[in-house]
Amino acid sequence: MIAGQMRVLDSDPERRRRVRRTTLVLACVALAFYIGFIVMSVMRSSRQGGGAADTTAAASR
Amino acid sequence: MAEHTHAPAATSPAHAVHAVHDEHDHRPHGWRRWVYATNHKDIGTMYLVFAGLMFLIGGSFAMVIRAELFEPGMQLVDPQFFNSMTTMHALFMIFGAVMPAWTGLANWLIPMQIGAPDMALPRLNNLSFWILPFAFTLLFSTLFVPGGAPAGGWTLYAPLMVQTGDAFPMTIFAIHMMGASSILGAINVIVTIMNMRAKGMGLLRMPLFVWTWFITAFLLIAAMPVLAGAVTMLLTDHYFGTTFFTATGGGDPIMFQHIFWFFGHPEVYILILPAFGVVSEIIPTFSRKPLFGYETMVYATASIGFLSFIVWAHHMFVTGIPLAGQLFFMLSTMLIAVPTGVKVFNWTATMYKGSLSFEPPMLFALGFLFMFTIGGFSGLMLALVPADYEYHGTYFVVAHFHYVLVPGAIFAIIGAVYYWLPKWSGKMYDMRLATWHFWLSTVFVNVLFFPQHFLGLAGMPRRIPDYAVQFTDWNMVSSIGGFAFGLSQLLFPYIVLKCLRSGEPATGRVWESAHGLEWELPSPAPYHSWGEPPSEALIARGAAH
Repeated sequence: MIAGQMRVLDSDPERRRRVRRTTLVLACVALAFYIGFIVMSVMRSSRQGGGAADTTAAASR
Repeated sequence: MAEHTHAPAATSPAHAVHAVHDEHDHRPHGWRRWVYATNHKDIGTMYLVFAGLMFLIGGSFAMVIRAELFEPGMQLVDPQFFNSMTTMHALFMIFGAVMPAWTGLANWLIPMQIGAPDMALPRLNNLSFWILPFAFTLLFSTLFVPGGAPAGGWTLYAPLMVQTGDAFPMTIFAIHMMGASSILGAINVIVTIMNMRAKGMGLLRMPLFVWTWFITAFLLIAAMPVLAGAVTMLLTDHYFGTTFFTATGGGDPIMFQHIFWFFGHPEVYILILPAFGVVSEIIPTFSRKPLFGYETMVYATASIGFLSFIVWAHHMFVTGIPLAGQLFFMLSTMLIAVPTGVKVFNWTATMYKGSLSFEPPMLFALGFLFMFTIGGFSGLMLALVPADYEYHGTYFVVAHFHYVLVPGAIFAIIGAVYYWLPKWSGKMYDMRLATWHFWLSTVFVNVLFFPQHFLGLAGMPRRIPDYAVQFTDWNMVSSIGGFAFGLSQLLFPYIVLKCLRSGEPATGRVWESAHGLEWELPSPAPYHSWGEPPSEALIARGAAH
């Protein structure tokens, strides 16, 4: 990047903080959806008995 | 009319400033420019070229499908390979062609339209792009492994998908990579729009393309990880003895469908919302009027984004979900027609009493408007539970979603390229050839997909390589339309390459009624634009909605 751009992007520490903060929050949201749906499936399977949690039954088949 | 003949590139004080900046424009050369790219324009170009390549490969898979379906009986390929073709065609077109094309357009346009010098996270931008060639090389290579490419459909339904051969882990890994690329791209778009807007570029001054992408990016962040979660569970079912989706172990195959469509339906809007943005930019320019109802367009887009998360089970009416569930998902699906109708009426009202002209971008936008609406109406038919019992799993569904995605999303992408190409390249393309491209595409896309409505209503199932003889005639017509549509698309790269090689110089504004910050830059847009933020006066002029 040219110097002018670097100046715009980097000169404002408050903007840099905001960029970092927004990035982390969005990454956490994405991670929460990923893990959340897997955890939800595990819990649903456990509630119904067997299913995903019952790996021993699956292994013995 | 286009002002594409004699005017100089720099026509305003802003242009003069950028002309001076051009002297300091330095860019890396050779392969390093592309491999280490952090410039949003370079990355946008790479995304668009990649999408074009995937469009050709995915299109060639479609040609195999239509060739096999030209007449009843098994002619060219075995059923397993046919199923692989339908699966790979969808995966390549959705994740390889349409989504990267939108990301490419976002990269090119969002910084220029909001007065930012680049995307907020340029290195992440490089990473999001370079994941894609590896993902698709891996996916493509499944054609050559024992057991063949995945053949369970793009929906990857369990437990069928778990029975895939050696291609299984490769497909799962490829999908994870595509998902990671999309999520990183979406984070970059949101961070850029939230933090990099020039002073004076308020949220309700942003161009509609930026708004639609902003909402699309939120959909991506919420939807793609869900797909990643679903395929991770498929992986553990296959290799680690879990039975999330295997009934014999106490799992539930229907749960996969719920999880998949919780991703899958917002995905449809991920593919189409940026198209709404593009059309909202093109129609006012060629109607020489401001967009009718700018704010309602923003709210309608947000409403569609929200509703897209509460309609997923309309894909699953025949799985035996409870009546209350069927009613809820039927009504919520029909509710989407309201904000979508707002958009269609707003575009129509924009054109009303406008001074219309029909350059190629406008033709593609109008093609989008008419034919996307056809896809929307057949979607409403499919939303009705009793009717869906008849239509589900037939060619009617194939006709419906292809009307939404081909003359919908893909026409909008082509229209966008024809609209902004002179700004990107500084050259005008052959408008006569582009007009031919539009008419050939429009005629043959209808020859290709409209008969599929009849086939579906007559009961022809989808995803089959052979069919009963009474479906022969319309399948022949559809295949002829498919080959002709495929051939006519070869005009597109020819027009673009001809433009880049020998196009006439374009003016800064290109189209006389174009509004927006990108049109305040000279053509071609400087390698580094908005190093100095645009003035508020310039922003106000560009934001004359």
